Amino acid sequence: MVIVVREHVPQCYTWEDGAVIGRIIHNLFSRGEQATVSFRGVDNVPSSFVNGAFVTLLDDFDFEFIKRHLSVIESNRSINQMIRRRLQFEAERRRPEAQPRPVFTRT
Amino acid sequence: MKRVSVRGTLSAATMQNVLREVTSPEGRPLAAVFEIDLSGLSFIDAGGIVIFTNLLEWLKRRPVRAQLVGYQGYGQAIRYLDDCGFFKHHLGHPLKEFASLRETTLPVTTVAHAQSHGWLEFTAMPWLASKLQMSTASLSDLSVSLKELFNNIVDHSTEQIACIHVQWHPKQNQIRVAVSDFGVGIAREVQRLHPHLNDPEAIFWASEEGFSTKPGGRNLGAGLAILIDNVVERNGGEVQIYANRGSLLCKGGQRITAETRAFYPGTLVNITLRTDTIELVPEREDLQW
Repeated sequence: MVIVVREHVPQCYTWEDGAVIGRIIHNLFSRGEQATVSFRGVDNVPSSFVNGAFVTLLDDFDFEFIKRHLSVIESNRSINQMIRRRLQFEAERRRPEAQPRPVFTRT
Repeated sequence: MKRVSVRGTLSAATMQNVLREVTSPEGRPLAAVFEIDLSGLSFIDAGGIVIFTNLLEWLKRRPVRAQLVGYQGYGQAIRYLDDCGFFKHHLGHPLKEFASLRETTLPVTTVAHAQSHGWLEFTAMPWLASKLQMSTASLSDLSVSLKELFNNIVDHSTEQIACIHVQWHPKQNQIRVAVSDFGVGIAREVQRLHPHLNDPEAIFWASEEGFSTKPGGRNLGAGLAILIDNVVERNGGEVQIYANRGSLLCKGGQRITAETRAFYPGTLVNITLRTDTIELVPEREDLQW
């Protein structure tokens, strides 16, 4: 199924905007289906939108499953880099063997 | 009544002189009535205008009265303030009828989060794109950076409004953007979780990806890290963050923290973007994992 984001949200800006898209993808994934997300007409998205739309999927699906079942089309370098960066970072952080980082070290 | 003289240059680097006269080290106004004298002001940059606007808005939200005086001389700095809408914003009218917006600036303005997306998409980015003769898509890194800032303000500040000023410097191939809110400041917000950090350390902590003052929910602590990467790593520009009594300068491969001499009420972010290194965005592409 192709999800054209602008047909579902007036803007791609906040976590709440992203969560609208995230719920649609989640429903498809829950049925084992593929999701194709189109960013037609969108130039860029901030991390809050990506967190709501894609990172929340990591709560129920692992990164490898997401990569196999999610396609992003009619996008651009800026949007693609943001999606990859946020998903890779959060997937790494959620690995059971990931070490917590120190808060701050005075040198 | 306390009289405060603004002299010489007003910028992020010199704001301490004014702030020390207005705010206590704990972040309280030092008087109930201020008379702020602008007769000695000779130069003000984008950061200075936002700092000054922010300070007046901060005082307005407290039982404090601030009156501006000493602008009748209409020197160059006062004229610039008038042209970019500062007096219209604070007094309700420009000082002179002939005051008009310059080709190289957007008016200084306060933007609520609810209006910020529209302001970016329909005012700021189209204006910059037309000046730089490139598509708005090519300005995505700057647009995303400012969206991160506005979302950061709504997530972390007690005030959901920001003051912003944008300048284009064609001779220096630079865009300068100053954004500030008048909330509690990033440092105070971080110290609720990590009280052992001082103000500069708290700002540095907030700039690291994955550290959030509201962990476990919708906020994942990516905004400032993405802003810094977009501006510093990818564009070769510069980011300065001031909050409370701390500052962080991100430039080249360096991140330099410092303690400031006066308390800044809220958080100020100064962005300098190079226009000669903006990458023209190619055609649309699909995501490759």
